[in-house]
Amino acid sequence: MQTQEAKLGTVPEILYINSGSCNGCDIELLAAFVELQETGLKFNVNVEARKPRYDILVITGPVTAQSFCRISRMLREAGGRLEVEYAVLLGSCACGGGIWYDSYATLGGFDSFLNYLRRVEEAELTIRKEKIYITGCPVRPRDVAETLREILEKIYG
Amino acid sequence: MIDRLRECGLRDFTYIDDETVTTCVRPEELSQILRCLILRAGLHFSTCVGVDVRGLGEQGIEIYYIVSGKKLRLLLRTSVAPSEKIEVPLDLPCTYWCLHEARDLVGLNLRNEVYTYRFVLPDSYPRSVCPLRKDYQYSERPLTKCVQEMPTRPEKAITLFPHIPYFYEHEDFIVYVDVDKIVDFEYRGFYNHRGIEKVGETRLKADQVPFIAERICGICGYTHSCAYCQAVESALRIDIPESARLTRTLLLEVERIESHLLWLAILCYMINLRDLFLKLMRCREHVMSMGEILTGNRKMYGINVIGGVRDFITSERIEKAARLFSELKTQCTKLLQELKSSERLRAATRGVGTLSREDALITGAVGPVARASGIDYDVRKYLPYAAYSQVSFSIPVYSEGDVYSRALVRIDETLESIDIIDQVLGMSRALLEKPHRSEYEWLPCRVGVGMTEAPRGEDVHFIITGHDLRLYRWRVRAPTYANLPSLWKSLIGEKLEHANLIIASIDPCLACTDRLVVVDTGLGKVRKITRLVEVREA
Amino acid sequence: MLFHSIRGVPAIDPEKCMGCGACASKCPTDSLTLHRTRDSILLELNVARCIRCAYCAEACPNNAITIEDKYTVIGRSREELAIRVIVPLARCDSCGEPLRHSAREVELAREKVPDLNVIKLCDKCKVKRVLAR
Ligand code: SF4
Ligand code: SF4
Repeated sequence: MQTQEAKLGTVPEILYINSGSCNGCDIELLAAFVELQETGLKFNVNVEARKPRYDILVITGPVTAQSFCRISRMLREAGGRLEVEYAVLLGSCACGGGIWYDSYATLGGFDSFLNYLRRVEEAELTIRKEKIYITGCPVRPRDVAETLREILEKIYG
Repeated sequence: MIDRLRECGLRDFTYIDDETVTTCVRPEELSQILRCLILRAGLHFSTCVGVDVRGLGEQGIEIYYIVSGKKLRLLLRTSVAPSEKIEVPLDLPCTYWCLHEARDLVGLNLRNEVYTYRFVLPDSYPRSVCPLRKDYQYSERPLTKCVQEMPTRPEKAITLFPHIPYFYEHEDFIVYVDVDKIVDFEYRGFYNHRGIEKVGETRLKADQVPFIAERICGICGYTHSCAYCQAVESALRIDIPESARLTRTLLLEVERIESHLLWLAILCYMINLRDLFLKLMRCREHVMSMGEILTGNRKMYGINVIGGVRDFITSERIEKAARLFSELKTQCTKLLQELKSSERLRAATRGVGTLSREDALITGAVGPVARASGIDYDVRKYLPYAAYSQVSFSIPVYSEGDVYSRALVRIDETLESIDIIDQVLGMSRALLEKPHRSEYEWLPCRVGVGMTEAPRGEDVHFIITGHDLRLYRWRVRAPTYANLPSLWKSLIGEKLEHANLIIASIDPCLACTDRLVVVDTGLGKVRKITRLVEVREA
Repeated sequence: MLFHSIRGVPAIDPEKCMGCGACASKCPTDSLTLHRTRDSILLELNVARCIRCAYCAEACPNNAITIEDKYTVIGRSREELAIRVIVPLARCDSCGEPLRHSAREVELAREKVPDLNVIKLCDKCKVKRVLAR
């Protein structure tokens, strides 16, 4: 019998990007990770893209102009294109830009970040399966853990 | 105190409120006066604020320097003509950041730049873009293709990744080493600059600003909304009801405990006390629930308004919170005692990252960092706000200045906070008294300063009121902003393996610092060291 | 009491909302927006951006907004996360053209001040009536 891991070839990889959030969502995400580990599902967390494909992208923050530079640099270093199966947007910042949605220093959330990325940089970020918005300011750890668990279970099949 | 100010050559004081005085000085005298105030009179340099005064019928830029001492807050006002250049006092590193920020955001000209690269804004924004000038449209995004943003990227470099991948915030620390001794250090942050000040000055009305102030930081947000409200209250001379003062005190201390527990938990993680890490995090969850019971949200309490607090506090909520608190208290105290007596903590942190009292003074360190270096500066005692003059507590001060003392200061402070909460909950009658907020009338062109002692140190908000319930200028100086420059003193000369620990020991919160440009590395505490570049000399 | 146990998403009662826009002008994130169409007012709540501050519920003069205990809303698209309430405009008694105020606002004004003779006429018909006198 093959183990689940062997079937997949590897443990699901989560790419986690803080795009200039206030830390509220990040700490709640930490609490969610702690909760998730108790379920026994295995996953790896990366904070810098080193390869062209990840299973889950978790993003917090409204994407500030400064971190936009940083993220695009990261994408360029990873070969100009990045593919993820699922994108999980945490908090009202990533989902809709939050209270600073129209400020000069933010790009107003993940969706408009994708537009800018296409327009300004020649980098590309593709979401293959689903984009999931978890709203709240900050998000609640319980709901984040639930959502991530569902996704991980789908990946494990 | 005023005599000491006279000795430094200051005259003609005007009182803004009982504790705040203001006076005008000429730009050329400034460096001399600041030196005298900080090094001789023993005052604390809080920050400086650049204001584009063209909207107030004047010319050029005005800079306000905020200096504080016991029961006194001094605002030094300087007018800078459009073509005039300001000198950065090189022997006072506490002034570097705010002057460079004024250069980037308001367009101040500096005679001697310490940082030649763009400090707060991305390198891809043209130099001519100064978002806090009044003719800049707040939602304009001059975004272009990004250029290499690091100031330097040495050849022989290796990148060390974040210490704990779960705590993550952008921030670049570049450390130059000789074998394994740190010889120099560069910092690039402000990845969290979200343009908060500009949004507060344009789109939002003054009564909505407490909500954005709260979101400056996800760990110590409430203290920011308090500081903002106090700034407006001081500018408009609003007296807030007793019950609002007590409520603010209660929640500020809940937040302090929560923040310190997080820092201590992360410290435990870093020095391999995994068991205590988990226990502290669990204990912290209860503190979060306390916030939720009282205000309806785990974080972002949303209870502050100008003139007091919103009507969230009811007797059932207080009772429920008190019940939870009495359970939590014993558990938390036990954990903290255990940590305090831990041999591991002492062995790993003693003598590491020492910051002397003098260095702390000239770099403008605040909060637990300053108190671990023998400076007893605490806004709660120096310039009491909320209900801090009604409760009794003490300020723990240590003199060694190492990471160990910083940990001890935070442990002791948490214990004091538990005691303060006990006292406030004991006054539940006064807490519930209505009304919770005072009415006020909006007046333009008033200046106000609000200061609180955030978990990480002194937090300063400065405002100038505008017309129609709008702000003309709003400036936030978060505690980490004041503490980061002290790293230049405490990091250089240390071993590379300690770099993480030392950086974490100031409890950097980049979210606050970068407001506009935030520098929070991660989680409050462990800031992620995104890149630790190591250069080995052959 | 503004909320029960937690401060969740605001729920707008379409039966009570009168489209006055008090909430939209208070919302710090502009999650609540008011749009005018020819014969109705459309109030839209963008749950994705809402920060759960309950400032809108405090502002509503007719208590049409209540704060629910539900905090997290999970959606797969921005469209799914928008809540819309349509408030019909009052109509002119004489020609039937929509007026500036909503029907509910006019009703409410009648209830509150019964002796006030609220004239439900559009500008054109008002002028006509004056000229006819
Ligand atoms: S959604 Fe709220 S808590 Fe989360 S990062 Fe944004 S402001 Fe902070
Ligand atoms: S709760 Fe706050 S952010 Fe949400 S719609 Fe109401 S006022 Fe706007």
